[in-house]
Amino acid sequence: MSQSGMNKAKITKFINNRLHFIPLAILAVWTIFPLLWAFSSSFKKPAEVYQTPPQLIPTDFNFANYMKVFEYDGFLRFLLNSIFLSVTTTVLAVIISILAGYGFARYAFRMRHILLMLILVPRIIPRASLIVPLFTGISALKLLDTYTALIITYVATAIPLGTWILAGFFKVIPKALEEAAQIDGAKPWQMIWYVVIPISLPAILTVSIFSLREAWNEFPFVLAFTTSSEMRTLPYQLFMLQESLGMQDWPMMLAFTLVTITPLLILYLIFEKRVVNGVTSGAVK
Amino acid sequence: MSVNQQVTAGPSTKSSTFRKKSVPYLLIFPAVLFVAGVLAYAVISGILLSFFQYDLNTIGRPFVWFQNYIYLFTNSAFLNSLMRSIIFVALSVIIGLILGLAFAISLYRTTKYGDFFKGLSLIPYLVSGVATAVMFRFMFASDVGLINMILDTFGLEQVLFLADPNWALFVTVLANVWGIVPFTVLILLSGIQAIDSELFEAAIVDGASKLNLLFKILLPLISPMMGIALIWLSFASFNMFDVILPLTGGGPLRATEYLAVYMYNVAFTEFQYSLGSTVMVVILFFNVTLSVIYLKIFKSAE
Amino acid sequence: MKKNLLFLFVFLLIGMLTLAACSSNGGEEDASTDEGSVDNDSNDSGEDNEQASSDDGENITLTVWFGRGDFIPEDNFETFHEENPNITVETDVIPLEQSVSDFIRNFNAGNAPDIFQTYHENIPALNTQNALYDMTSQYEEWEANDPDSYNKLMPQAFDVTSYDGAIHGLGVHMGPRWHVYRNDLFEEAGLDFPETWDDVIESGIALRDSGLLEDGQYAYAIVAGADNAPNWFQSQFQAMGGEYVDGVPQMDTEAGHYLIDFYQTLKKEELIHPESISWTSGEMRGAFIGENAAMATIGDNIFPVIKEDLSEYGEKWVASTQPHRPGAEDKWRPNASSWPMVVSQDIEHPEAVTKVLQYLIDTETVREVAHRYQPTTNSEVMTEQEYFEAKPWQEELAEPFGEAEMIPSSTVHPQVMSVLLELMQYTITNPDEDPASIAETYQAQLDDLG
Repeated sequence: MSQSGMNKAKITKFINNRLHFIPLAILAVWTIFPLLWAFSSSFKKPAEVYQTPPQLIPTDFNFANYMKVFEYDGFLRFLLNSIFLSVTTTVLAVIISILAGYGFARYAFRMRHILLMLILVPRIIPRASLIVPLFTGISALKLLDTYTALIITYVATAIPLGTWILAGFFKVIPKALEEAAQIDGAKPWQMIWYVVIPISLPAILTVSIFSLREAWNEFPFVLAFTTSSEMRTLPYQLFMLQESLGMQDWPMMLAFTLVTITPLLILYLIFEKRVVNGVTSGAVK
Repeated sequence: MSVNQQVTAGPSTKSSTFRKKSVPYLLIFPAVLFVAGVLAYAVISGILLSFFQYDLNTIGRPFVWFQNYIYLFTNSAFLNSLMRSIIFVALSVIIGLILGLAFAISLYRTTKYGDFFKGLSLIPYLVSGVATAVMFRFMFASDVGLINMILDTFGLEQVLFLADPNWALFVTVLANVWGIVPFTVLILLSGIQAIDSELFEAAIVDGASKLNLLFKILLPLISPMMGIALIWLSFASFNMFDVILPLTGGGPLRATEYLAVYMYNVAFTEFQYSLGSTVMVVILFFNVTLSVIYLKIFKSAE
Repeated sequence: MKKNLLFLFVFLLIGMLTLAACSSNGGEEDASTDEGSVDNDSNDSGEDNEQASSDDGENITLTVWFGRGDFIPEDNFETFHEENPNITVETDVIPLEQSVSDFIRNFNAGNAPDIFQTYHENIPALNTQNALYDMTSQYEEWEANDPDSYNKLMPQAFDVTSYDGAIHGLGVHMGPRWHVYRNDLFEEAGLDFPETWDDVIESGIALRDSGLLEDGQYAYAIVAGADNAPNWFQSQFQAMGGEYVDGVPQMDTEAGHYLIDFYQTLKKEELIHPESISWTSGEMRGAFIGENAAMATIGDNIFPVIKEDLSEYGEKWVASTQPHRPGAEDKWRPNASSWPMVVSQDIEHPEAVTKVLQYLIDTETVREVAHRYQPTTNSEVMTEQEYFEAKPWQEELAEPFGEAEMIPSSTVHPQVMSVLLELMQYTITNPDEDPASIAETYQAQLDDLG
């Protein structure tokens, strides 16, 4: 920060002193407004959303819509599905990425580059485009409509980025620490557990949040690979709400929307700095 | 876990060197297994499937050479989807890049509350595509939509955003850009932060104008990051599915039926799996071509 | 730090295991379990305790997939198991939307369910795959041995699964679409109820100009969004006397032109919500239930909801047969969709399968489902006083219900739906174009599918 602070003082001279507040204000409104508007409307009565002129602050805060969401048939199930899938995916993806990242960062071995490519190139393959062949494959394995299918595909899509970020981080850890441990006769797994993981927690956290976000928000896979309503996750159910409500109950839908966003938002607010730094330093290179 | 193999045996034994040598392979084995087993499998089997006929009206799965490709490129619905996708991607990339750059420069410039704004800017990245779609549908609806209420307050004519093909495309671009700009901002910001200030010093001493500084110095210097930002923007847009399906369902009149949505409809509502795979191959082809082009341009610019 | 991590890990692991365990026990309460035959079900492990069938004769296990949980009889085959101790029926819910692809996959892998439920429109494609059993001889025996129960059934029960001279299952339920209207508004405006589609437009205009409709309220509601198959469009086409050749609608005909012109007029005269083109079926129904539309074409199964949310039948709303096209009264046809139970080609015990179908359509079983959910093809249930009490509209509609014709379909049904959807959306977006030229363009596309 201090080094970039130096740069900053000089470079910023060329950017107009006041002008930059305009894009900043746009940025803030642009980013937060859709959420704020949804938030405010989620407290309104169904008829109130049709009111003109629109009111940003509802006349009275009405929690009935949130109660409707929590009492919605199967809501708990969808919530648990979402939590279960995100947590499982994240734990598995992080473990596998740590191992692979360490392997690539610390060992020179035959076919290293080919294997690295094999893991990294799929980063450019968009997940939505894979649903058709994956669907036929999963159905051949008789795994449609199972958690297994979702977890396997979620983990696979999370590994490339995780491995990349962690390998980059492990590379800059001083080797001396591990060498000391090696002299003490530590085995590789002990080295990872006692030496590497403790000092890599920030990077591990970044990777965890990334894969948590991916799995929590995932839509195409769960849409294509599951059929029964017990398998739905929150985003899937939100999609189905548009169809299944006999009447368009906007406040309830918006309340549902916010309920799906909030857990991630809270996590993000707790770890915000690390995530932002994680993105700007490691994730994008 | 298979990694905890013994390595304490004497260094001279053959088996121990073998074990030592196998350590990295064991470490990366699970990752390769998952990635190759799922992603590589999907790509390869998708490509293979595109040469067969696999749908509900065909018995078995006959090999049909390039018939699926010929069918696609003579099919008006697919060509429409391709055209619409290109317009959608172009608009998203242009708007996304301009907004991203403006936000990144001003974020870099700001000293007060810089971290606050930086944190704020990433929030849409956390919101799922379906949730984004619901919020934008709510804002642009004709009866409950805020935008139309505002137009109404100013005495302006109502616009039926979701019922008009071109407006609907515009709304999908906005919703898409809302979701993908945050990451762009951070990519570009990290590029600007890495610039060596000496270059600016020199240029300012030479009396360069502000526009000159922007176009002759800043942009060329962050061109690798611009390349990455462009790849990210176009990939995310080309494959956008999560936002579109709940927002417009591909309508009205196929105006927002972009390739990923078209592929989904072909495969899962018309049960033409091999045709869906063929669309996947087309999408992949575009992705690879685009990234090669971008990397070439921005490598040479550097 | 590492202790914390370890603790966290163990905690998560326990959490996962608990959830995984929940997932295999929970779920559909009314679906009994099933060991080998169904692959795509999260609930199919464990619990094989209820297989205590008696030892007389051969023990038979049949798998039945229902397309919606609501279709499963309340007693969940309890009486059936008592009457047929050697047959065990295992049920599962596979959504209608998924039923064909799931069935075909299981069929190719040699473990198809014995009976499954699907949209009647899918029968031709399933027939192409040689995946369905011909029940003709079973039904002949049924008619000979138990004419009483056989003759209670409407002909549609058998027709709906007939294709190429074979009968592949049984249409236990059948859902007609009717014209619903706000009788309170019609009375207030002093309007007669429309008998032709021209009348629909005229009364719509009269309502629009009457001042009875507020901002955001429209005379008519349609589903034209890209999310739904154009089933309502087709239903109106049939009511207008639309013709089909080999299950493909003929749009370049008088009825086709009339339908196109009707939709264009709805749009031009502002009788429908301007955003109808992005509406889902839920929004269309919601518009009627929420008093934002004065008329609509709605399926019988939604009526209990209208009754609950809008008003008692006859107070604010009334249902009637769909109007006819002026001058084509003789071509008017009431119409319906069905979700028949169809039989896999691979069954080993046709008699047992027949028993299951007989049980499902038996008056004592199906009465409860029909009162609660979709109407049935068992005419005894449909003409009982009890039914009229549960569904008051049926009394007047019983006759057209009996004559209802299924929406025709073909082997290329999904593609036909895509073309019709585009045609419908094009019509609404281009209300001034010549109907004949629109019809010609899209008819060419339909003909290409053949």
